[in-house]
Amino acid sequence: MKLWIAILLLIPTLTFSQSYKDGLVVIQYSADFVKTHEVDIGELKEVELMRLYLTQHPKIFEKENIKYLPTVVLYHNGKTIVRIESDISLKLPDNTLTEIQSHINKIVKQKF
Amino acid sequence: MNRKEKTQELTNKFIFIIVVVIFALFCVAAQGQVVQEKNLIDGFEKTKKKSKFFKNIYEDILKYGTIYIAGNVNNPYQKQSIDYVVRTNPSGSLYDVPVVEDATEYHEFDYRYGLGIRRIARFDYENKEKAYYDGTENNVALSSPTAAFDGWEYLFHWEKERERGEVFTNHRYFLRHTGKYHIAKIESRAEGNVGFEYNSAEVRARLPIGKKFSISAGAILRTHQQAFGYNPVEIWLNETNENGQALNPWYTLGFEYGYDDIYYTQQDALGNNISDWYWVDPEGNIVANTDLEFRETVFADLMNQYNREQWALLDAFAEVAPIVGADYYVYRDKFWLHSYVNYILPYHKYIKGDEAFSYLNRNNWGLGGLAQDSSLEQWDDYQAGIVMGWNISSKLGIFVEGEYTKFWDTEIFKSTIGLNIEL
Repeated sequence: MKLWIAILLLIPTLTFSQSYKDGLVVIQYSADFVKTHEVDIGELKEVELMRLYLTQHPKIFEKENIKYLPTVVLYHNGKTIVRIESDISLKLPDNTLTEIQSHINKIVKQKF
Repeated sequence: MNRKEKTQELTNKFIFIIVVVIFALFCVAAQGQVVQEKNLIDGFEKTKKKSKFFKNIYEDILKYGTIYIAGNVNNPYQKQSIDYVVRTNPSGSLYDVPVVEDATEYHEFDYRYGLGIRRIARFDYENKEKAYYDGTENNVALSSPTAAFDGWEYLFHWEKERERGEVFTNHRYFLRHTGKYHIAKIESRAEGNVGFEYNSAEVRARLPIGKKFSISAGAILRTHQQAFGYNPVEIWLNETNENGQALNPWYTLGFEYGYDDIYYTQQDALGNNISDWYWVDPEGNIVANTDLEFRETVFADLMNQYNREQWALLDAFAEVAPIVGADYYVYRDKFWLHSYVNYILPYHKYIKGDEAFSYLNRNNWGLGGLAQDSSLEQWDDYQAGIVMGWNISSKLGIFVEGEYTKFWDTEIFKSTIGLNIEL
């Protein structure tokens, strides 16, 4: 009985692929030549953080249609919540972190 | 409260404090590790935010928490039909016009009031039941091994309720810290109306495999009140002497509680002699006219009272055992699946309570008491749950929910399956 339950519950685990956009995650898309223009996403709270570099993950950049570097995106369960791109001077807006954090707070608050 | 109960209460408090201290130390150590973390996962450079213990107590512990005080008043349970009894007219004899009385049991209104503080995150597939919290919520996060939110979660709820005229006190205290590589949880529950009391504490190491799946392993401490398999009255009634005769004839239980039987003989209208024993209670009131009537009425209550008294003499039991688990969680707008399984391995070690009456001896009690040369018998406990929903189209959705728990002799299961079609 318990074996069947375990099999029944664990089969689905093998049937779905993993995604870097699962859960609540902030990804900073960047490249070596704009490293100095990155924002410190480590200041964000209650969210998973990632940095992806163009040279290492070109396919993801293409798939996500990243045209400006750096770009910071907040995802929630695979869905884009907010996307902030750098301007012509390769700089992200000053309020980038504040804006993203406000979206994070709103999403986390809804869980409680 | 007698000395034994006081000692037991103090022991319980001491164990609780020790567990809380260990729990806190574990969480401090786990959180300390987070500061150092910066690694590669799934080929991506992953940056972990720096955190410091004792910094931002509000954000780590109190933020998103809710204090609530709530109460309700409801109609009491009432039978659909009204019961009547006939009583002898006080001013007449048995054969005068009797008095008809309403014997339906009426209860005072039911009520419940309680207060608490909670910080329990809902999984994405769960909706908030009401626009407010009143202590009646039951989130999946309270039973699943993992959480919808990394960090501290807690629920400290206390309430008093009256149901069908009886007043009960209930509580649920729940504290959990979840991190990427650990789960630590303490829980205490008491439901007065069903006589349920349960305490547990567990610490597990957790290994995420990808973002959706994780396995865990650790140890769990649990308590139980019941001495499974031990039936005191059965043992008492079946004690025999060397000649195989009952040492405690069934009717002597009545004597133990102050009842007495009185022999009588009488002759009926046909001249037959009838003899039996009638029974009186400690106040001298006749409670049964024959032995058979006594055994079928009062004696049944005395058996239960005797068992309750004997069980109450035993301390509560506490045992530790290794536990392993796995969980899987994925959420999309159109599909969600949350499944989990916990397995408590058959290496249970009792740290409190008399082992002779523990679950290890559940099959060793019988006529004559604990079987001689009996060996302790380990057992498996497990729990599994699944919540799945799939919006196949904008008009059609199916859902499946279920949980099965087997702890000691207790099996609890609940399940729901269905589909929704929007017209």
